[in-house]
Amino acid sequence: MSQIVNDRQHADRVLRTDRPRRIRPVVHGIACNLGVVALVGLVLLAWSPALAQADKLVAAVSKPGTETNRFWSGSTMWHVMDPALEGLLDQDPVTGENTDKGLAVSWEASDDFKVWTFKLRKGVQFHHGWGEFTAADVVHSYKLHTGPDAIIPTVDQLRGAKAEAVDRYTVRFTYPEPNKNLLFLHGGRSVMKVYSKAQFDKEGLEGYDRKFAGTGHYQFVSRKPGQILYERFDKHYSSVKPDFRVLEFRFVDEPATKLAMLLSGEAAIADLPRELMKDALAGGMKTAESARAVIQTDVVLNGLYCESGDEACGKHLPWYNRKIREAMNIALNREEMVQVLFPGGGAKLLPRYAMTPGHEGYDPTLVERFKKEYGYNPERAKKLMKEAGYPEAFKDPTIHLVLKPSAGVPEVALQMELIHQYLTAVGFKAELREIDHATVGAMGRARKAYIIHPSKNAPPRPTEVAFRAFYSKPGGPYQGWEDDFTSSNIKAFRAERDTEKRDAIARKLFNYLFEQYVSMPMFELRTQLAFNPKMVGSWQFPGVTSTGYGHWHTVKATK
Amino acid sequence: MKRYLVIRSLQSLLALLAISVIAFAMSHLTGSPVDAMLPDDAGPEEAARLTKLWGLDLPLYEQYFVFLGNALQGNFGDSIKWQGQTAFGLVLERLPATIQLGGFAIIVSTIIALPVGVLAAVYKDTPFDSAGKLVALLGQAMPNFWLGIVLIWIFAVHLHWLPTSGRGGFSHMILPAIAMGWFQVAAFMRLTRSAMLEVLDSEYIKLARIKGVPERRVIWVHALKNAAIAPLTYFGVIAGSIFTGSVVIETVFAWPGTGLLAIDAIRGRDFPVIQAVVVTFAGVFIVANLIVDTLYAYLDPRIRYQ
Amino acid sequence: MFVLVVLLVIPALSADWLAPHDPIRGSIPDRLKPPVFFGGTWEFALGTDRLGRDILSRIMHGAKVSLSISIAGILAGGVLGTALGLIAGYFRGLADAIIMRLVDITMALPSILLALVLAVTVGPSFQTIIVVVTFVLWALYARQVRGEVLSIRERDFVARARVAGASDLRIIVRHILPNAANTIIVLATLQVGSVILLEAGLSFLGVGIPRPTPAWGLMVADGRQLIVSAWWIAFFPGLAITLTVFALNLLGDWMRDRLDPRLKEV
Repeated sequence: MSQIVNDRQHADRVLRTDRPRRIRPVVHGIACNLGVVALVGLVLLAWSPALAQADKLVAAVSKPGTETNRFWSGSTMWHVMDPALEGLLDQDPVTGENTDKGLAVSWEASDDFKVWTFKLRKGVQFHHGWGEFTAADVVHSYKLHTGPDAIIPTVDQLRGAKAEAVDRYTVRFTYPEPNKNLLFLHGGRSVMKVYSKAQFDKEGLEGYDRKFAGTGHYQFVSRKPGQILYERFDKHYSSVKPDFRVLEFRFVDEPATKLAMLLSGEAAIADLPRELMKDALAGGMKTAESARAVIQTDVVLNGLYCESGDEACGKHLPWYNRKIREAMNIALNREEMVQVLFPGGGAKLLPRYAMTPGHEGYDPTLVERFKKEYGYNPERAKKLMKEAGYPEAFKDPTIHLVLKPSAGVPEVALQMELIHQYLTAVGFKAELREIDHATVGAMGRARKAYIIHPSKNAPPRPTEVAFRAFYSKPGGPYQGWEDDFTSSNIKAFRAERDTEKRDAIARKLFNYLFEQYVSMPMFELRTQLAFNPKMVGSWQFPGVTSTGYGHWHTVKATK
Repeated sequence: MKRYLVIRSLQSLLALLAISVIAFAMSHLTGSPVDAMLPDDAGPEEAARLTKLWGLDLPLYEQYFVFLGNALQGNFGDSIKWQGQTAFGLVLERLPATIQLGGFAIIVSTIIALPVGVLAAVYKDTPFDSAGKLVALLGQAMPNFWLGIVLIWIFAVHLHWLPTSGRGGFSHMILPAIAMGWFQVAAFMRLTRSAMLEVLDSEYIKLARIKGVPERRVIWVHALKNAAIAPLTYFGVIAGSIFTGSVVIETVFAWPGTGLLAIDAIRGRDFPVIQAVVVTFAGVFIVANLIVDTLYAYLDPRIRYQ
Repeated sequence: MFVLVVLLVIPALSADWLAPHDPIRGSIPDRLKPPVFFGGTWEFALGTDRLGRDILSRIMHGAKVSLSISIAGILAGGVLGTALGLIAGYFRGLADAIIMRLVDITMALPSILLALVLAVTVGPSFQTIIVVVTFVLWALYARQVRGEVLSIRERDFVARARVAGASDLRIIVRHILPNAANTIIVLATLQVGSVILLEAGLSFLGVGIPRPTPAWGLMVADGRQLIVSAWWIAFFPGLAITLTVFALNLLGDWMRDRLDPRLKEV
């Protein structure tokens, strides 16, 4: 409305030169009055004082990757869907391990890992009166999450099963191939949430879009642009009752604004970049940290698609040369980087990307070797560069660093700037480029990602999944290392059934990748959030899923 | 008159058609929603499946005609990033927030600019004149996001007078409106000042003074009434710049409007939403221009025969 | 006023010799040092940023970058807009209709979205920013110049030239353009500030001048998070922008009073 009025004025300005004077007041009169009435009306409409509630928890969080009630066609939104939607497996908030306290009370796999059977909890109620949770809901949810519009991470590993309700409280998934990692998918990765079949049968997807029913500690109330509202679900099966009756998420992208919300008491919890954590602590805030390290970060030396016969292999790239890769790695002062990037702690150096304690192939000796072989050594870096003939021997000696904003790791931009500093300090010709996640993906899919970019492994994948995602040809576009040795060993690893032999192959492979300096491994991080101790007493969460935090029912109010 | 109307309408229709091509091209230039939406570890099969599902495997011209055909019926397709909502529905849902903030920003800039402009004219070439100019110029001399953040820290964090961000009551609008509206103050004030100078110099103001009308009334009623017309003509330019300003200000203040929607849609390569935002904004602008031109042609016969 | 302009131009031209530190390379141990008088030292008079780079040096080098973006963008937009405005205003008819509808379309398209699209398509760079600035400005010039030309072409000297048999091109270049020049120059002066702010806005959205190049807008955008603990990172480049806009506006006002008293609405 106001725009139309304004444009009328605007056109008047343009045409004014050739118009007789007496017309102007008429038009202006109409325009001004309409404009003023419209504006005052709008302003009055907006006047509705906000009510503060003591039992309401407001969390200012980064905007989720997608905003939809359909979990299966979304991404990076665990942190805001977690209050209402539960997967089959729940995690212990202190240890981060799968527990039998969730929807599934027990589970077992056949010897060949093809058939998985889950026993379900009895007496679980869906929100909004949609009845009792049964095996039929699990089968229904499985279909939703493996349908054509499903885009959740690692969904390809979930697909392919025959899902059936054996009885009211038993569900069975039969895969044609062994699926060793199903517990990771339902647990730490949490790719499948349970929705109500009764609601779907009656209301369809529109019902979900309007007001979906889950089984979590909180039930969905409403979604407005930039906001989701939940309220406590009093019929939840667990003995833990959330302290806060209402839970409100506000999506805020600007970190300074989030910090302001926290300090002014408008939000009780905020996910801040680590750089701002210091300011939050100085303002009397406290931090909550995930029980587990949930994010591994890496800087991928992409474009090395160098299995024999692959045309896409970036032989022209400076980092095709192992000496250059080593020089780049030891040009970095990682100790200093940790202090700059993560002054509030919660970060450790990562010796090899995707190698995770407790997972197959973990080699603790690499931790020690890392200090020596990846330690800061600019003199040796310069020597290696000279040996490699840098820069004369290279057609394009430029190191193309991508400043890619990475969801959940806002520190990445500063990290790449630091790397730029270190590399130029030893004599590399480096360039920072602002390319976003999707464009890097497109370049990778076209197998032309001749760039260096940050990447994350969150939550740390089981070794088999990680090998596939980061070091093999059919993996995702955000990986850059392929060669014959690696691919043949991954193949052998996948085919091997014997636990010890598998471990040995994986270990051999990790050692090889380590010695080849295939990427610049960075950090192992725990998720940190800041909270206002006037409202929140404590919060313990396990550190699972890509976003790294959840378990909102464990947020304790200040006494 | 009829002839003019027909020609002018045809021109606008052509412009809209051009806009639709541009909107389509703009969205498709950004790449593919598949790259934005697919998780990091998804392989080529997943990508191929989604490309097909979203109709991105069709030839471009075919995709354009599908888009155009639907757009003519007011259907911009389903959003990709906001599954379960239509693209046009999203735009309509968020448009009021942007118009509300933009409208209030205009009011704020008027409230500051008008009196300052009037006083600057009355006290021409005095320190007050220069001080007024300085205050007005300040808005044009600070990056608006920085101004926004500084305002948040002063008025929300330190003084606790106003909320930091979000859309809620009236108080939520004040800071973003100042951050957005201050930019316009300088131009607006300058216009008021020069219009006032012109009017104050005119015969009927002199007459009013001779008649003994009190000076205050001469300035604030007689003169301002006539001088206000000139700056009001600047509103059109302001309206255009509001969208541009809103993209940044809505991010800083987490104000859920169309500016924010547009950035998120571009980052998520949500073609339907990008197209809906661009076509809606451009369409409103062009249709409004058409209406205005028609209105003037109706009022002023000379335009028709140009 | 001239002093201010001089203060801007000199550092811009001589940053290479005068700047005390390297604007690109920082030193981590020196990061986040406060300015002198706020606990800092004269070595880093305006403090250092997150990478330990001297802010004063970056501002001096940034002057060069920010001013060259403004000048290049305004030149490109001004030339294109003026040319089209001259054609539209002088020839009227079909050319006018087409150009004015193009102006409509341009004004109807949110420029910032175009910038975002360009940035994700070809990656943000100095060139993409110039393209965006040109896109934003040409329509303004075209519209303003067209208006001027409409009134100039009716004046006697144009009619006389036409009678004397001068070609259209000659009339436009020799008679009309010089009379519209003042408007164009004043417009350009007043726009330097808006272009710097546009650059800042683009940097805020992550599609501005690529790092580590120092540009004022980028520096403010970079420092905005640390507004509490390291306010100086954003404050000083912000101050540089403010002073520049002030100086150029005063210059523009002065030039308008001298050259073109009729032009009020910019």
